[in-house]
Amino acid sequence: MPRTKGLSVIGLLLFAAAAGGCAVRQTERFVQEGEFGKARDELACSLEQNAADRNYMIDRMRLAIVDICDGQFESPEKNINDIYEFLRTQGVNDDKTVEAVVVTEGVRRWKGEPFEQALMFAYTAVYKAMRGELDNARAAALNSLFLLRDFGEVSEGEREGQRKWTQDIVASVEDEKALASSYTARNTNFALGHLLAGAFNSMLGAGDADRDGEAEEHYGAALVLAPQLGSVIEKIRNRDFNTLLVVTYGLGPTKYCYGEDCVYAAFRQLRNWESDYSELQVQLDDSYAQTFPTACDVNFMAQDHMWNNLEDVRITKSVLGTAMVYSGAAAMSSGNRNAQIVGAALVIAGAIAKASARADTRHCEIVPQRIYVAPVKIERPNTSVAVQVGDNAVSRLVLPGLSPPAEHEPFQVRLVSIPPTWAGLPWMSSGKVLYANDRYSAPVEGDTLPYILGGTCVRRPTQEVLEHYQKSGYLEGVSLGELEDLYRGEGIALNLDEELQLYTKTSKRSKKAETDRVCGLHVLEGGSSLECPLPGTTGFVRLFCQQRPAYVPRSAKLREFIASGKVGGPVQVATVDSGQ
Amino acid sequence: MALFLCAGCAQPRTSVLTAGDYEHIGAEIGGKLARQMAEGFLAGRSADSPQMVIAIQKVVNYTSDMMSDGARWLIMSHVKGTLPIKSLARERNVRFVIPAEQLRRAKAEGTFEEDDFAERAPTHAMTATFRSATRSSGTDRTDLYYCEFQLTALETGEIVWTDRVEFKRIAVGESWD
Repeated sequence: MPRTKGLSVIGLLLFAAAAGGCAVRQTERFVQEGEFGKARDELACSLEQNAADRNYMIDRMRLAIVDICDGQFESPEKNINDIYEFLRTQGVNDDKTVEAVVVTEGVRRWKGEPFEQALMFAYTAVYKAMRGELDNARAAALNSLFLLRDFGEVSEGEREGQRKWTQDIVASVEDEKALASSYTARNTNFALGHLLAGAFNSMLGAGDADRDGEAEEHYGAALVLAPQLGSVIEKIRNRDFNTLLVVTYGLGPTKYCYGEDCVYAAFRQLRNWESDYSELQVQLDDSYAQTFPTACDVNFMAQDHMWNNLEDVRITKSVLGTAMVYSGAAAMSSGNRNAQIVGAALVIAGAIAKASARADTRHCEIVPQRIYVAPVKIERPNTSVAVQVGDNAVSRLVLPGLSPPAEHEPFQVRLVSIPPTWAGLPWMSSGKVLYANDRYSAPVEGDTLPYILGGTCVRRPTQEVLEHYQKSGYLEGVSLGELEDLYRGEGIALNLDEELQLYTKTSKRSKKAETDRVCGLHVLEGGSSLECPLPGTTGFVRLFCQQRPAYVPRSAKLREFIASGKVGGPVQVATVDSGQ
Repeated sequence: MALFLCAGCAQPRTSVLTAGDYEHIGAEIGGKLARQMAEGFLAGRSADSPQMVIAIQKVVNYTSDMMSDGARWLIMSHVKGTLPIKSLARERNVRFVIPAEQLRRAKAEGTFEEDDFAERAPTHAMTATFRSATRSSGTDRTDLYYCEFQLTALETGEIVWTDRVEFKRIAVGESWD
């Protein structure tokens, strides 16, 4: 390859790597600001499409977590099911060990650290429960309880009795083969997984001896691992609740590399997101606040070698690279010309091997720092639920519009993701629904007109919704078909099929989408979706409890409709000139 | 109990139920139910017997793996597909119907059959419950699946017929890799 072309390729690779890193930091910033919609948009529009690429699964896990945190109901399902299938596949990298030794760590398909896999199963379980699929939720929770590799504690020296680090493990084994036989497969210590498995069993079968028996097994295991969960388990066991809130907070640990050639990887707590024992406060309307302990501390989890991948292959490669450098240097210093040439080649190869031995520190940056489980009883329609972590007022999140479960479903589950912000977001504590939507039955000021025509209604157009507008004197004589055409003319999806068509775009890592259509953003955020997050989720609050700019018509058709007077009243929408 | 391990092939990496398993279950149970026509609760029936309308329910999943709604209905569809539906209706006065929710979906997808909605006053319910027991060592995993089908008289609660299919699935490799 000519030198200039080679340098161009290297330059492009470096740019692509930098661009990918920038996209991840952007997503992390959106999550910290509670802008889950923008985070979803960023992730969905830049998904790695090459299944062999290491980023293929990591992109999808990030998207799944953000989708679930944002209370999305339909659109995440396929992605989550695909991730589940992959995580359930064993020995994914069994036959790639040799390639990784010779080429680079990147050829291994990333499945996530064991703790990330367990958390992904837990997220899947909660998502399925939110959809009312309690049996699938139980199955997903069970799969989070896989066996772990335990290499034990340090046996002597300053750190005697402490859990081994990666370098302790490497120092205690002669080679990779010995590594495979020097651990004990032991039961998981993932208390959250046991708690969820128990809870979903209890919720599945009141009076079913099999379900109750299985639930008790999991409660017993959870209590041994986390005795502080006793009161939570008691409420669930007695079915003294109808709503299970799974609350996530903070940003989980970050992955870094250390040691010679930076071959070892480890996790450490992020500054400002250190572990503590703050309890979750939950208040229903004006009642006294109930408190709940932490069910999972991800910092502690990630710092235990049992929950890490260990990266043994990279260590082998690093040793090989160093040996090549030393051998080559020795050969170069000999008087033999041929030996010098071979020696130089060895030095170069060794240097390349050492450079590629650097630990890959890519990880799922948006896992939470901690997770709470709060069983509560919602007794009135449109109850307002406030959650807060300890005395941290900035973490207060008010969830309006949560009603008791439907008659045929004795229980409901919600994942509540408190945005990991220290700045305080006004919408978090507003507590007032400002936009009428498909999952909120109470009236909202201005809901007699659609948002695209200046009102506050973002319900999907149906005959019933149209009649609601017409009863107030708006859109008289307008048919449902005409109204739907107005939406479609704006590029707004009216059902899941249309949503998926808009959602499927060519992913481009390094440039914006060719149109200003976005992937999955709600109409209120300038997108094309009317998909409504579940009440009792952060997505619902984020979307409907803050004032939005006036709608900007996109099509001539809508502008003409407004100008024609068919709306039947004054219309307040923005124009392009207004800079919206 | 049948052991499903593909000898001579690459080692299986997952113990999740597959489309082939659904077909196998459907064929096994359909065959067992069809044999009831010769010896069993269907043997004594004729065209003049009181009508038996069997409402098919979707599979209840108590296994350690997720199962989509589509898969649950597909299994029951395979069961129904192996039965001589027309001769059962003509010669034994037995009909199969699906729940209203599934009927609406089938109509929307254009996959309904004529008999699916004829005379929707069920007298019996066909249910299926799938369970599994899992053993794992970290380097491999075995799931034993137990699929039980039942036919229950709705008025009396009597279990008219029950049978099952059992099989094992093995996955090789580290679960955390």
